[in-house]
Amino acid sequence: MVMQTGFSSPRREMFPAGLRVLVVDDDLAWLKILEKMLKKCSYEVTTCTLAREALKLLRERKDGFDIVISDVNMPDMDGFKLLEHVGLEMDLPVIMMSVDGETSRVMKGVQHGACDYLLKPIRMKELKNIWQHVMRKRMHDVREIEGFENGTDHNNGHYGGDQTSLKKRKDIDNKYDEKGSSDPSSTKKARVVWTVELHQKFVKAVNQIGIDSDKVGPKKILDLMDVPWLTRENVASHLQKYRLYLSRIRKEGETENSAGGMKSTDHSPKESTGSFSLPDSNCAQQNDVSSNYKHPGNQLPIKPLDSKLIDADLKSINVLPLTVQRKPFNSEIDPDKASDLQAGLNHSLEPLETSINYVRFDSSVANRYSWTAHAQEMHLKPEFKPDSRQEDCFKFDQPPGSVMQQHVQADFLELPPGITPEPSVSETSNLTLIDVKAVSGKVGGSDVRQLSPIERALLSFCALDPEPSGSVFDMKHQNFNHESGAMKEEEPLQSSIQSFHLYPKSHIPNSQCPGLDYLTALDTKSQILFQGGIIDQSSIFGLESTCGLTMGLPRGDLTSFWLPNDGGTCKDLGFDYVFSDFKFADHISEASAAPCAPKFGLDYDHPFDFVEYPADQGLAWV
Amino acid sequence: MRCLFKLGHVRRWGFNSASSRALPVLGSPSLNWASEYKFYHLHAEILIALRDGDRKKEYLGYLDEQFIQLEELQDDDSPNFVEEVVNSYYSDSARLIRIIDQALEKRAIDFDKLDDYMHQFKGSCSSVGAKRVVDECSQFREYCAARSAEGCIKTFEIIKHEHALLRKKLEAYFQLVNSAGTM
Repeated sequence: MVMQTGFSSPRREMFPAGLRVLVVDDDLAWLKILEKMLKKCSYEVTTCTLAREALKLLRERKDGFDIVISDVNMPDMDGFKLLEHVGLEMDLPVIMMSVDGETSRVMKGVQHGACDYLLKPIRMKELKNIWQHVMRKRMHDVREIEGFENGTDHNNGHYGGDQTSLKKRKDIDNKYDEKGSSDPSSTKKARVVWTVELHQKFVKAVNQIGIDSDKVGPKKILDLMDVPWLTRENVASHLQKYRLYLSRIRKEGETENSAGGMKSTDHSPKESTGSFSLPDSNCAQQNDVSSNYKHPGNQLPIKPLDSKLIDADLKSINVLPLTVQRKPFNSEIDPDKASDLQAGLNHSLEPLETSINYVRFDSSVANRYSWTAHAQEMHLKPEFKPDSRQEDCFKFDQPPGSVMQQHVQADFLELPPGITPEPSVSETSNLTLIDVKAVSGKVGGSDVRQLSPIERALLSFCALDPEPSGSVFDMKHQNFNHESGAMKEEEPLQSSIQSFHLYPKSHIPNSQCPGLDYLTALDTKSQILFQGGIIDQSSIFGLESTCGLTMGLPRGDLTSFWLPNDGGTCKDLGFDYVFSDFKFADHISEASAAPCAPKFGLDYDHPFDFVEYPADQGLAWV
Repeated sequence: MRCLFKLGHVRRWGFNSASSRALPVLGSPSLNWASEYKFYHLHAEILIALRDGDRKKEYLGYLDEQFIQLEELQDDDSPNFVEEVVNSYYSDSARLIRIIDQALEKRAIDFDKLDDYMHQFKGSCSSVGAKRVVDECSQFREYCAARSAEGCIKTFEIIKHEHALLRKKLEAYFQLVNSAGTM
């Protein structure tokens, strides 16, 4: 790539004019003044008084702003927190302002990543120069790209890398194309996409060195990571963010009261998912989802189960929260799949509306749920302590055992018999529901155990057809051996794994959902893992909703994750149930899963009644 | 002593210390000399006095450079900019004064909260360049840090007084500015 670094005169006149600035300040007088000043500098100004508003704007308009100026003191969110969010999610330069110029405050600003700290009263001349921060960042990023390009040929094994390199190139090219007349200095930065896989490598490397040791440094980490296209600068900046994140976690871990639950939705999932650079809108929305989780008893908008409602909401569902936040990925994830994942993500996802829409509780239903005290503490955030849930992407240095413990042994939710979930499906969904009848499972050919209500519910997806379309793996009883974050993939699955097969309705042609390939995992707190190469978002959502409905779990409770088609990873992820449309023989890499031979002819011995969904209308497993 | 008045939409004056008369730089035939003088005299009273040959600026006035900045920002696009900002300031600051008053009335004063409110208030005052008030705010914060309720209460009385005084001055100022514009 040839980057014009010279500023030819006609172009120079344009930059920095038109710089898009977002100003956040709760003081109206200052807001007015700053707006006026910035306009006089020929910048494009957007103002808002709340940090949340600002974040919303930033997320809505991806790449819509060049720089953010924010006051330190704001009513809804600490300015430093906002700073962190913006830095991690959008990677924009942020300038802090305050009337207070105390060294400690300024230091805090710098530590949180502010690129400048202005003292009020602010002079026009100070604002005139803010474009330098934008320029600096762009040059820095360009240098990263150049470094990458000068680097070695792309290893096919590093699909993540390929993805990002393509992305980078595309970004740069796009920017050149879009802004035909704009000068190179207005080229948008193309950032390193810190994929889950990449980040995992990073954390692994860091842990190997020891996060607190003096030796940890970008160079060492880079060496350990062994990712040829990654530069030291990339690692350095990522390390910085990671450190910030860690220190905050530790602080919060000390002070936060888990019973408090949702008290700080602000410091949350946002940065953790944002750091993965998965399509930002999704991450952001994921965060909104999780931050909107509320305790069923108190705050959920309680709506009667209503098929119309569901239908409407199903149609409006678009996104898939993406990050697997529970555990580090099995690092042996097939990179091919990883890129498919990305690709799938990239093109199939749109912002999620808040999960509140999808809560389907009858108030009577809600009462019947017996949450254990532990569950109540956790609210609906799947198993995590409030601080850890969101930050989980970085949580790799936490003892993995803690994740397992966090499986809430909530009493299984009983669906009151009166509830007949009737999800209908939008036209776009191509999941058709299988005949829902409860079955009991057979394990290893010999055991027939009484199923828990959840299991019954799960099995309700089963139909009687001979052709199994998938399986549900009960992962609860797996004994995962994790030490210091290392996955022991070799560990064979315990024979206690139970599985039940899922069958499609016979008259639903499989061709309806060609290529739909997913693995879902459902645990007691309803984390669903979808695994697959090709994802159809509406079907996933139909599925989620159905799962939720059938089990009486609020839609908002279901978090979807997905993984590439790699059966080996499912057991590591700590899910209670794994819905899979792998048939045992085909896909599961651990042969030890085989002991649970699929059983045909399951017993129907449970009086649980679910509505049968007509083929053309339901949600199905293919 | 030299005062520089910059009143963008009206005119500029130079006030030379050697001669104590105001010399119009650009005359405007439409305005009556006496009222102009009165106008600018008032302005002088509320603006900075800069000491000759001295790097340090001695602020004798109620307002500081920030106010001049505001005036410089005023232009055809926003012809009432300064007044609008000042109005914003007064509504914000009035609210904060009420809050702080309430906080000070409590038997057990929460100094940290008080400090926080005062921080906001100070920021607000700095927007219009209310120099005297801002100085008192800093004093107040020191008393907060020292956990001196008496000090805080006393200082706050001064703050309120200065705040009200400045308001009167500015009201008079704007009246004059607006009426001058219509003449």
